[in-house]
Amino acid sequence: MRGSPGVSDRELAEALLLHGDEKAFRNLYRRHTPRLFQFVLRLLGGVEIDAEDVVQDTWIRATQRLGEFRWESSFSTWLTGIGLNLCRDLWRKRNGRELDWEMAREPAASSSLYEERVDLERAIGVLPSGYRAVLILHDVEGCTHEQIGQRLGIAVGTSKSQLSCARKAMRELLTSEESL
Amino acid sequence: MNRNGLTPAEQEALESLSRERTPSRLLEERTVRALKQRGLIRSSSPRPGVVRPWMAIAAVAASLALFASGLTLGQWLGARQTVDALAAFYPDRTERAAALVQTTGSAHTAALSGLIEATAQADQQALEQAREVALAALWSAASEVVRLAPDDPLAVRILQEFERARTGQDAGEEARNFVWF
Repeated sequence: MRGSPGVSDRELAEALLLHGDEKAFRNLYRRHTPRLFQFVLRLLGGVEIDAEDVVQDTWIRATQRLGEFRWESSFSTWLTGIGLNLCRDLWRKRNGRELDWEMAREPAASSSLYEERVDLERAIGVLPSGYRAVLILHDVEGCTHEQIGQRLGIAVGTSKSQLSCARKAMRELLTSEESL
Repeated sequence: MNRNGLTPAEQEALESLSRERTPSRLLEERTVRALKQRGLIRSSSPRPGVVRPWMAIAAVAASLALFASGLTLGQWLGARQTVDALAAFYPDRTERAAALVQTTGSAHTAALSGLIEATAQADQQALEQAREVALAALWSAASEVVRLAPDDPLAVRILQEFERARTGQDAGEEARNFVWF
C-alpha cells in the first residue's frame, strides 16, 4: 500500500465521493493502481496501451459507482473486478466474444514467442483469453473456482475444465520453447 | 504434482510472478483529467482557514525576505541623510510625523552607539565635534518636547541644566564648532 498509510481506503473513498477530493483520489490511485495495472496487463497479454486504457476506464467507472460499493469485499478486489469486466468488454469488441477457449494455430505474439526465450509471463500472454483469465484468476490471484465462476459468468465446472486446458496449453508452450 | 495440480516448479514460478507494476506517470494525470472532465473530482485547492505546512513555510520565507529588505533599506537610509530621506517619505500628517520622530530618534541613538564603538579609531577632533552635535541635538529635542508638552518635567529639567551650563561658562569660550549633516 502506498501514500497516506494512516488513512483507510474507505476514508479516502468517502472524501472522493462526498467532496470530489482530488488528493484523496490520487492517494487511492497510487495505492491500488500498480496491482490493478499488473492484473489487467497480464489479462490483456502484455499489451500496455490497452492495459492503460482499461485502467483509466476502471477508475472512471469505480468513481462513478463508488456510492454503490458496500465494502463487503476489499476495495482492491472490487476494483480488479471492474478491471476484469472491462477486459471482457474489450475482448467482446475485438473478437466478438468475451472469452476465447481455443488455442490459435499461430499465437498473436508468435514472432516474438519463437524468436526470444519464452518465459512463463509470455506463455500466459499468448493463451486464449478464456484460458488466460481462468489461469490468472486461479493460479496467480488465488481465486476459487466459485469466485471465478461468479466473476466470469461461467459454471464452476467450466472453470475447472478450462483451468486444466489452460495449464496444458501453457506447458506445451513452455516445452516447445525448451526444445527449440 | 501437488494437490493443486501443479508441479512444485510451476507453483514456484507462478508465485514468483510480480503482482504489481507501476504504469507511466502520465496515466495518472490522464485519469485525473478524465475524471475532472466528468465532474467526478475537483481540483485540489486550499480550504479557507486551513493553514497547510507549505503555507507556513512560505509565510516564514516571506517574512524573512521582508525583514531583510527592510534592514537593507534601513541601512541605506541611515547611510544617507536620514532625516531628509524620511521626511520625503512622511509628509505632514500627525501619525507620520510621530513615526518620523521615532525613526529618526532611533537613528540618532544608533549613530551615537556607533560613535562610542568607533572611539578607538576616531581622531579627537571628530569625536569632539560629534559630542557637541549630540548635545545640541539633545538640547533641540528637549526644546521641542517642551513646546509639545510645556509641563513635561524631564524636558524642562534638561533645558534648565543646559541653561545653567551655558551661563556658567565664560563669554570668551570658544564658539561651538557644529557640523550638521
